[in-house]
Amino acid sequence: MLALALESSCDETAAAVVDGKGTILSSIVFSQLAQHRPYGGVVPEVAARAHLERIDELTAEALHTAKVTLPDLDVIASTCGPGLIGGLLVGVLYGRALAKGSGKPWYGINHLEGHALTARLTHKVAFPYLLLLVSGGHTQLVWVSGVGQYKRLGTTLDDAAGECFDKAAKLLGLGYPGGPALEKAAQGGNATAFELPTPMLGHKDCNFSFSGLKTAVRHKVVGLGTPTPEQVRDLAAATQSAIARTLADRTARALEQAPQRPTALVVAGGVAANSEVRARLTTLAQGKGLELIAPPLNLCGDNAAMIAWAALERWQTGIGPFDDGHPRPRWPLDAAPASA
Amino acid sequence: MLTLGIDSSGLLLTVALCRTGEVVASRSVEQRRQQGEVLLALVDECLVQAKSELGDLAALAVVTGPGSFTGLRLGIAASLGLARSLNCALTGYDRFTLLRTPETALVFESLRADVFVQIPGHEPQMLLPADILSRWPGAVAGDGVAKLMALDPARPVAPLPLAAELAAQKVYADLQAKRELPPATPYYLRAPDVTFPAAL
Repeated sequence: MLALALESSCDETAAAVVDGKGTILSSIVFSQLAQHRPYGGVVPEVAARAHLERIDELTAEALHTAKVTLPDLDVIASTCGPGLIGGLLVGVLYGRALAKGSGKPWYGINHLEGHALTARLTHKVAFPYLLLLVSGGHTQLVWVSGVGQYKRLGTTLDDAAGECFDKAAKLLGLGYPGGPALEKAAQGGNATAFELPTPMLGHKDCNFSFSGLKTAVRHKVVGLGTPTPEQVRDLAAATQSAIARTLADRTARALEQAPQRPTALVVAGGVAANSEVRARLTTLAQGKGLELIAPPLNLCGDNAAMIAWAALERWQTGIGPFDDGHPRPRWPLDAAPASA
Repeated sequence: MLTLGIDSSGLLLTVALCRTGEVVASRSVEQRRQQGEVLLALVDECLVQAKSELGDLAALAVVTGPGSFTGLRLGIAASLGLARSLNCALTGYDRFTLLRTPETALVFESLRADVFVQIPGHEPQMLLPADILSRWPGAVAGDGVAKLMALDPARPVAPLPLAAELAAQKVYADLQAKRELPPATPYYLRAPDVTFPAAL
């Protein structure tokens, strides 16, 4: 069993080949970071152009690195959503045409499903498990009971956690992308030097909210005028701590409300690369007698290996493709059709 | 030799199939959302009409623009995928190169106030309809002429052949003449729309 997958939902163009046992034979990711940095965020039209420029050569590279050819493949997959529509269209059309020309089935995969199943690619985690999906575009707690079987226990009411990292970093003049920049600045800071709210702390539901925290950071920055380097470090540390505390608190609530005891607590998405987030979730999991499963850093962010794996999981379980082929900017994970 | 032309850059989505330079099948539909799967379906329809198969294709020629950014990307992305999987030649031609005549200004819809235009003797550019009319007294052609006609209903409009058909014919001619094929890279003619992030 071999799958080739393409990922083009945001600002990374990626192609990967994965086999049915979960061996990643190749995973090529081209980051468009340099193209978006001047704008302080992802520009959809710039992203779409860059995806088209790269997708064919990345596919060739992924096949070459994996030492396979198109006839060797069993399935070709593309991220179908959610994401920026211009980029999705490139990956979907390219993937569909590639599949058509090579006589292979094509699977349109929900990007979030790719993140949700990454723990099974890397750690062979058994169902059911609790997933904290936390990235620049998403912050969700999802009960994963099978391939194509997802129940959202909580989601953000406004910004995603990664968005909060990015915006706070921008307020502090730390550059883009904000997550890694803020984490680096926070390393030398005192998280207790500034008091920031822990959004939704203790709420009965499992939802998140980060816009209030962002506003609180802005008020601190405005109040300071021009923060000193030390104040920037302290505010970065306080912000990171507040985000991590919120994520841990909401995840703890979800564990209480889970329909049964999970096999593990799984974290996925770009923010899963943050060491304080991982540390707090590890403490939480250990307190509950669970293992925290976090993918390696290269699989935390957007990549095509997770899309290939999701396609393989669908293939192997006989669920089959989601095949209407329509790229969709919004596509909640628990609305993912199980089949065509 | 079987060659395929694809044009998704304009208001009309067209796929055309040529055998030794003669058009043997051609399908067009108005561009709508989700045209991606329509494009591949049109390829199938052309192949059925020509009693041929994908594997028979020797070369693909895609129209690279200018026009709808999303539309031209669809055509190029699909062409890249087909060409790689079929291991056949791929090239791209822009609409001005394919359709240019000395008597007619070519005007293509941009979904903006200004349109893509090439006035004979001038480089392609973006102009407002009124500016085109004041600079060029002759006939106009292309899917952007409606905006001109609203201002000057008497302006002569010339018919245009389908760019996809010309592309399929041109790649055949270029291959026969052993001319170097240009790459299938998009011809946007306009810088990206840059939307700065919302205020914090």
